[in-house]
Amino acid sequence: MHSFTLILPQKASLLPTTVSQLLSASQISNETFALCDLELNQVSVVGIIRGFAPFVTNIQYSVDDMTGPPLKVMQWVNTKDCALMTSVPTGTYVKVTGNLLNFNGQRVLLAKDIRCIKDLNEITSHMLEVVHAHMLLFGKVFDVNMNTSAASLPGRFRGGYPEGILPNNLSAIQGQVLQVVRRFSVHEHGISSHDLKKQLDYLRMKDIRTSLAVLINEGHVFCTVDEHHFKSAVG
Amino acid sequence: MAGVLDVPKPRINTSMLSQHISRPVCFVGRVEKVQPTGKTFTVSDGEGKSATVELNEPLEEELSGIVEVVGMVSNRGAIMAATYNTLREDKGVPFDLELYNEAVKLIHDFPQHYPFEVAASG
Repeated sequence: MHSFTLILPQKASLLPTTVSQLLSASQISNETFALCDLELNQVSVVGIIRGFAPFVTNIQYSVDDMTGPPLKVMQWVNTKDCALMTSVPTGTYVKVTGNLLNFNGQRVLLAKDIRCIKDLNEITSHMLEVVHAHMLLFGKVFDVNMNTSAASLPGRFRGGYPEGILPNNLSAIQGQVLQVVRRFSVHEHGISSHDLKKQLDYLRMKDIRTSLAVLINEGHVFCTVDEHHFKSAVG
Repeated sequence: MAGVLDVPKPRINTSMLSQHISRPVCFVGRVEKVQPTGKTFTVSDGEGKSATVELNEPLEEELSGIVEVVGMVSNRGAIMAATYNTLREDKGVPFDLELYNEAVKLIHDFPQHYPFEVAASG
């Protein structure tokens, strides 16, 4: 077996959030924000596009999930490959995965991936995921101690998942697919489904596809140049 | 009315309308009946309860299916729409309005984990 741990990123957690939580997060540095002493890494937001503005190097969207004013979302444009970037029209529900940062004094979600939501039930499931995740992370801290000191947070949540540890709730096959996608994420377009099958030749293509669908849905993996090339959302 | 979009708009169902008089809300429901004037229509929530939506301008298009309305709740409990969006259901995957209604009730049970307010950030 190859050892993947050396190139795995250190911060791998992906937290489902509301816009209000991101706007309320305390700022530690230009690119670091925290919710109740928990440093934010990757976050996901589900909302409707209220407007967009294309610039030379990026596209800026206003994404509204109703919990506050719309959030500014920025996506860099790959000038070498303009076909990659087609702007999402207003009135579309999207799931954005990215990092919160301070851009020219404004709080902006820098998008790794913006995916149009086809199944409207994802609006519902994201609401439930937000409550569930925040209850797991912060619920007990409030209930038992009535404070949010760093010491009271479980160690494994400080700075996300340790190296080599995969997100919870993944099946063995999903975990293996994610590890290979991560390993190949250093390539510009990630890994093709053909190469993925070659790497995981002991798995059935059907199972790889099913796992990919889950990983994409949960924001761990996204498509790059087309629907057959994948990258990990982390790193 | 553009200001309504720049503040929190709690997601509510019909039963919660009376607690949100004169406040901005977001209502997702199924279009039931459009009045001949085109300025009023009714939507039903996941519990089958109807709410009235009033528009400033008559509808210019036929309205059906799932709609998301953002607006202020009038004294009479009608939603004065600032904006609305038709949410197109995916072929073969209908929107489960009952489940959405359960999620709406859940987020109101846990406002600390799903806040409809923005705290001053540090």
